[in-house]
Amino acid sequence: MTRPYRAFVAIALRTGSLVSLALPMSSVLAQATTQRFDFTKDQVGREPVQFLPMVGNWVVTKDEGRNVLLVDGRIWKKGQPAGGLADKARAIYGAQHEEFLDNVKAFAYFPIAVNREIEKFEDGDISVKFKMIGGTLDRCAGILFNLKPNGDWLAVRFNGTEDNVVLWKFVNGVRSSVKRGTTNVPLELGTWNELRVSVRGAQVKAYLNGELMIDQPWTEPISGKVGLWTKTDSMSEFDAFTVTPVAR
Amino acid sequence: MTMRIEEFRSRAMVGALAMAGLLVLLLPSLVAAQGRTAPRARSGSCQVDTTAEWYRSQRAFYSDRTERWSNDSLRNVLLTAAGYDANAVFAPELGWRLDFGVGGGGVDEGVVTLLRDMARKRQWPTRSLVGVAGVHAAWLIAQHDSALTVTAMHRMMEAGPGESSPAEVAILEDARRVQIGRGQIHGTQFRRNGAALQLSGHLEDSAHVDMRREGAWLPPYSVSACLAKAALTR
Repeated sequence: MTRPYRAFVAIALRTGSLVSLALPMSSVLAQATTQRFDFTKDQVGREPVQFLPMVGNWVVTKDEGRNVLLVDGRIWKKGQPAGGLADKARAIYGAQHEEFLDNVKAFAYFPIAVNREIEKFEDGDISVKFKMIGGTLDRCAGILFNLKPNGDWLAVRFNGTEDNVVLWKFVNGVRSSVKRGTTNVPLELGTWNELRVSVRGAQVKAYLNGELMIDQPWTEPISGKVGLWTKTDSMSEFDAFTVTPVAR
Repeated sequence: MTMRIEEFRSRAMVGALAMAGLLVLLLPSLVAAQGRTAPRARSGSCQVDTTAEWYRSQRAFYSDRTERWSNDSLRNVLLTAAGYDANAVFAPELGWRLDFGVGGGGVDEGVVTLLRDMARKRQWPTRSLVGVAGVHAAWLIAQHDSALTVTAMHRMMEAGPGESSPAEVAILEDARRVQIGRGQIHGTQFRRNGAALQLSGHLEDSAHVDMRREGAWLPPYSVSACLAKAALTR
């Protein structure tokens, strides 16, 4: 083999390696389609079209000329699921909806609105813009994920009564905190902020306005529906719910 | 020489236009002067609407005679320390405080210590434990101790719906926020500025203050501000 030829082969091999590495990456990128949900086409005063309110009062409203989604805690009553809960549960879980219903009804402390379009979220990023308006007991805005047919879920939330981000889990009707962010971040009411949860295999991270708040190992597989989450009498607005999956 | 009618009308019109022009020039200054004091209550808005949702919610909470509680002795200790009569006629929380300051002592130190201990264990006198009157008495006592005021607020929030009055939580939270230099969120804390009324500190997200007040069983901001202003002259 001549020297130039060896050099050519060496270069070709290296280039080929890079190309062969790039191919799966490009297919990953091609499959990681970001889906962004806003409320510009929804009717003000009505429930959102792309989200199913299961607990609490969720209504599209106008904010500075833009349609956003409001969860109105003034109307939340302890233990009262959203109207038409059974039909909504059937719409997303079909024949499996009974167990979901039982769990939701038993502990309707957490207003949730489930995204209709995302069938299953596993790895990737979910972000949402939120604005806290009020709430005496709680002033929450959160991202719901890993929602199972039996009503179990995970949620990452910011609460303006505690000024922190927390990762919660809800299993068999019992809620417990998985990880509390150690940084206190007082946010002003009436201002827009961004919450993001990032799932990569065995790691769950949560960001508030781009700053890492939670970094938590997670050994169980995450696979379920996603949506929005608050607590009790929170009044919060949401916009730009964005899901970017990472193909496995 | 008598003035002709037409000339009189003409001069009167010029005079009226001049007055109107003067008012337009002076109006911004008048408005700015108002802005340096508390937002002005609209005429007639000192009226407390007893049919409003906030009033009815408070009344239902404080007047519930069917309620049961589990700790009678703690309830009695709190009522005695607060000097609060459980059979007192319902008097609504009207959502304003003038020159309000927490702390200052003046209540049974043993009861304050008892409440501090409960708070340390993440407990608090809730409606289930001591009834509505006991909850109110604990709230009154907590305000005599600055540190206890803060923990009382958090424990009342954590206790969950129905275990305390959101109006009382709102008052504590605004007082606390003023204390630490944050904006109020319900606009309940006022102070004197000479003969004028001023909001203590500032109000966060004023556009939604009445929405928050409604959720906290408080009257609209304009009503509370009017009542606070009326108190200045007493």
